[in-house]
Amino acid sequence: MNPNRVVPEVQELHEMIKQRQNPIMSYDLADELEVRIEQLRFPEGWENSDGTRFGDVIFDLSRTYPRKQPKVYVSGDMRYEGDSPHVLYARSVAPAGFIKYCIHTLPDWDPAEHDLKTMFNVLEVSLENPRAKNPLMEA
Amino acid sequence: MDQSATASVTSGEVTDGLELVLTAAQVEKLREWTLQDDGIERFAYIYCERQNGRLLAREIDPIPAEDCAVMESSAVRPELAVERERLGAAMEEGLVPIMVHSHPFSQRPGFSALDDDIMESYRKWLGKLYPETPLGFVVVGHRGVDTAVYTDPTEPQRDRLGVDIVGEWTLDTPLETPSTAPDVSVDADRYDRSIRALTDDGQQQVADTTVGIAGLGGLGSMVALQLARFGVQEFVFADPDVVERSNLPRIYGATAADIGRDKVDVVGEQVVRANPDAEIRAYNDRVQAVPERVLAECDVVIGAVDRLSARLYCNEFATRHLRYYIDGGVAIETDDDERVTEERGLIQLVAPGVTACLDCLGRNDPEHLRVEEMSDDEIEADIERGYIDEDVRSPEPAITPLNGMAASSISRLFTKLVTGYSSPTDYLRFDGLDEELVDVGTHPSNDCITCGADGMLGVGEQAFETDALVGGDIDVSSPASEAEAVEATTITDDTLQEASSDTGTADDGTVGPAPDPAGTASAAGPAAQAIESTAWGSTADPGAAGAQQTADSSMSPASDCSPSGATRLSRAARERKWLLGLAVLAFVAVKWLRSRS
Repeated sequence: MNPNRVVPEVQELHEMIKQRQNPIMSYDLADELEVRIEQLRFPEGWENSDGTRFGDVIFDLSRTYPRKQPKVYVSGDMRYEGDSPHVLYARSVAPAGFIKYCIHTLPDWDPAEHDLKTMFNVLEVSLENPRAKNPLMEA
Repeated sequence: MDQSATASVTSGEVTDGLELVLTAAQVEKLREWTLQDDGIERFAYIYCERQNGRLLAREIDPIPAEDCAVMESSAVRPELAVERERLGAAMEEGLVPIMVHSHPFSQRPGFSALDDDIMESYRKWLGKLYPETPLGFVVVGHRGVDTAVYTDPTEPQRDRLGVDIVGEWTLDTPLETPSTAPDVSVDADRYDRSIRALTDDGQQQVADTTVGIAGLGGLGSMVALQLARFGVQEFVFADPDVVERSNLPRIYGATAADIGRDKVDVVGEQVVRANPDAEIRAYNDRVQAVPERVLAECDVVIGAVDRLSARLYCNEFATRHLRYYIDGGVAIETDDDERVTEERGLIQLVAPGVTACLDCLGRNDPEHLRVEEMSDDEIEADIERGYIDEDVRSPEPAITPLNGMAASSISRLFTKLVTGYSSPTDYLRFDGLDEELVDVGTHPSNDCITCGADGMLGVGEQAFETDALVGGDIDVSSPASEAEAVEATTITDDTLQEASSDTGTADDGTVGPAPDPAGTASAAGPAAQAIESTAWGSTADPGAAGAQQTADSSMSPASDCSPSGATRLSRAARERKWLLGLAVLAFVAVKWLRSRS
């Protein structure tokens, strides 16, 4: 992973999200290799255990980013219309308090073109329609 | 100007404290700029990352005529404002600036008296402002360069600066550069035959080369042993695995007694036996966990690993540190009828900035990486969901003859790379079924995420400015930072000899070294114990070895996992003591009976 590339990506993602809402962003490129977006407002239909639409998201970069798209985790208490759709992948390992969000592998992931903003856009599309078999294809 | 007040102290010697490292492409860029047909002297800066005594050239900055106060056939110097801006920016970024000018009229140039004065004036100016930053100078001619460096710019002591050119064989014309004196000796008698092929200098180059090997399995063990016999003396090994029974057909020198022992130790001992001058720093861990400064000492890193993430780490590491990386791998494909349909080997040389890196060639399959990073539970779940095939959990087929071909190809590539007797290949592919050997030239891609324009060429250890970051004050230390650093075991002929001579029976009945009141032996850790067990095996009497072999041949897989060779030997020793005691008892009993009668 090239931190000199990732840091500007984080900043650009922050700028992009700030235009729509105001979540807290943080990251750790030393140990956990992750970018955290806290208090992100999820689309209609999503709800946490407090009954609000706010949840946290982790982009797990790993040392191989950006060769490979990051894994995505969301707050473990998020539900969609009271249910846990298949995109919430409970059997997978996840950081404490989170659940893996099964975002489909992008077959054309290209590290020269795609970045964290791409991932966030993909996540947004998927969150809008989490019950679709492949939310990306049906978006 | 008072000459006595400005005189520097020039040793004329090449310092062993610093070395300038450039890629061949950077050298060609410098030559192209500084040696133009008009015969005018020209100027350029090289901005370097300082890493463990190496100045890694990150950028060549040619200074055009409009930015120069003087630029003619006998003198060149940038405008003062340009000097301030360029040098200030570099120093503020923590980079070491090297000031380069040309002598287009010279084949093998040297610094003039005027150059001496100018260098000293730079030292007096910049040494006060940036006392921690060395000051380097290069004068370029058509066939050679000369260099100078103030390692401590607060002092007038000036030495020559060694120059290492990555991918030197690709230069349009050879370039003579200052180089540091060799620091190890070569046994001319032992290496007589290879000296006849490679010359004294070639053999010396081999002995001076530090080699890192990631992966000490079937392929890596063969490479290590070949290079040890060839005369390499300094090794760094990294492998997290222990020897399993299914490894024995491929790991050279490994025996059933080594089952359960760290691969790095088993192969390390074989290497020392092959070359008693060898010293191995053995890390029983992934290559990613080896401290960065240790791996950066390796002139050549060889990847013989089965994990793509480890290969890509080595690839990235080589690019950042301007070190050579040789990536080797083999694969056997079989069809549903278990027939071999493909048998191939790939060997790629990564000479940063000169040849393609793994990412340039797209050898970075994201799906492969994704699966590699999954836990067993995740793989299980993904198999159930049908995302991945069941066979991802099956070991790949492997046979030693194919490893042998690849190992020899790697060793040959290494030989060419280090001795320069012939240009090394960039990429070698062999097909074991068709007996085809294909040699392909490669070029780095400017768009490459690792070695391209926005990549990591020559950036050294990973670090970046934290001032303007989202989230602000956070720890962004490099991956293999001290906190994560793992300990190495050092394996040398001495450690083997000590292990051999110190073995005895300890109070607990196990075979091991003599008690160490100072407790220093424990610092060597489990690997040291492993060394001792092998040494014991090699010096055990034939009867014991034979007994051991017999036992091994009838061993079940389950029993292979339990006692090590040392434990079995210690048991044999204990059994013999018991037998001896019985014999003494019988003797005493007979004597007593006789005396009674």
